[in-house]
Amino acid sequence: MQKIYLDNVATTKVSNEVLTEMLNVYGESYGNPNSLHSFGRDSQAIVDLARDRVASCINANRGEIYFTSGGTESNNWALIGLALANRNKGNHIITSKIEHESVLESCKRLEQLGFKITYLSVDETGLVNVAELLHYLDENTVLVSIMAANNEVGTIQNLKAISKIVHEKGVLFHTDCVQALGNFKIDVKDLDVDAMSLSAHKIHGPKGIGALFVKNGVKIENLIVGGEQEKGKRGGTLNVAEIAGFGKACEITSLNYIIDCKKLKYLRDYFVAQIEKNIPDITINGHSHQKLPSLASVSFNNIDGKALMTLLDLAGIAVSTGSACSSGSTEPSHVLLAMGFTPEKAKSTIRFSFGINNTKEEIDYVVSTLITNVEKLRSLSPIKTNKKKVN
Amino acid sequence: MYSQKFLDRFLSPRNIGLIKGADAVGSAVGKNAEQVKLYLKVENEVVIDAKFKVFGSPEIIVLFDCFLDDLKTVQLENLTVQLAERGVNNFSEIDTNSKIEFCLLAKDLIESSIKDYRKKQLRLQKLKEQNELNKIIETENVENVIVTSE
Repeated sequence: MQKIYLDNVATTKVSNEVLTEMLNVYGESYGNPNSLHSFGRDSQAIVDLARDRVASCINANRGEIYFTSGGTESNNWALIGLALANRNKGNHIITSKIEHESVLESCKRLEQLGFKITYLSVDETGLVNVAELLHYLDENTVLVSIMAANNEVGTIQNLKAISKIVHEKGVLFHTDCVQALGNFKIDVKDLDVDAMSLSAHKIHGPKGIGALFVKNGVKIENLIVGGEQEKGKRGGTLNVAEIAGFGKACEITSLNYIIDCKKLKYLRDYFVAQIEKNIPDITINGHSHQKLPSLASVSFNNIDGKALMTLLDLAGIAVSTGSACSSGSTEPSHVLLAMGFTPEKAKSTIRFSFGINNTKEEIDYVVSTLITNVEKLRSLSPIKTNKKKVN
Repeated sequence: MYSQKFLDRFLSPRNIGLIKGADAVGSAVGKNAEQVKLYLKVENEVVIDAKFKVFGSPEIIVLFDCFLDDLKTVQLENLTVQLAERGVNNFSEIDTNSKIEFCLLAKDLIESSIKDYRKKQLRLQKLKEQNELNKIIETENVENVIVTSE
């Protein structure tokens, strides 16, 4: 049975070049970068090169890049570290209802520490309500955190507009770019952000490594203490091989993202056209054009998304019903509910995210499998289906 | 993730469908938007056939399909959530949350089905009584016509 991976938003396959880069380190450069001898210096040089590559990918300075264990840690650190470091200026933080759990849970932690959190609404396409942001910004606001692109529906926020509004009030701006990296040009100077979370495994790098960009001059408290690594800001022996892999992934992304995104958009748009033509009563979610090129969030009305996902899995097709981080939950997605979905529609939603290795033939197979299985599950459902197809 | 026994039920549920002219139709909606509809054929207060339709996860589909195996030949007074609960541990791969959701749905479904059955029975009884009354009136009218003509 052929196996087709359409869950690239959850994670991506490590590319051969990244793997080669990492294996070289595992095999040859095993010194601790903090050691003063030649083995350590060798590893330090690898870390420096990787840091330059990550920085270059987002037009940052090398000294503004701090390696972490991934997007979750970067988000935790950004929220908690920036809030605590700047609490003399105020105790109000603004974020959105559709952020990743690592941002939302960090905010809950900050609430326990006495911070007041405002969660901005989004519209039916997933765009943050900028007027609401303007309304809630006040003299106590110290930080705004809005993700660049949502991992469930793919909607890309108006980051420059948000950044401008936030900075006019003298407030710090963090953005979770974990999903966005590699999907459009990310330039920290152009976007004018103060902190940005990144992750390697979304761009064909290894899992377990990410970075936090912190603009020079911005105060941030440590999340992890106990070591002088990362200029004393994040203790812990550096994972040199993974850092090297991340750097390589960033280098490849910088070179290829324009062509890759064109291909991904083509595959995604082809898929959407085919399912709209052949399957009645479906909805394509997220913004119509301000969207990640690889992602299609589709609600197959009146059937359970997990049931459909299971049938697709049995046919060799990997997709997801929501974020991978919450796929074990039986509750409807908080992102979709925030966008105004009914719980029923949220439960009917599947996320397809294409990769550069997917082909048109694979998509044809996926579409025909979907046609059969959607019909099968609709025959089990007590809810009547609208037979009209989108032309 | 799922055993062959589980997949067998999920891919080919035995009790899916509806019963036209069912003696009872119950429905339930779960807190996570699951929906289940139950159709019962009842004779002398005993369930003789049961079918269901479902909008729910594979776990909910399988648990309800297995539950309906046990429904046929059950007396209505014994149709309780305890009957549903008996089958929840037949599949070790089903998580606790799904089992809880199933039990809550089953409870609502059973209550709704029995309520519908009793309502239909009452309506039938009233119809029967009305028909009998109408017959009596008809008979009286006929007798009156005969008397009058005499």
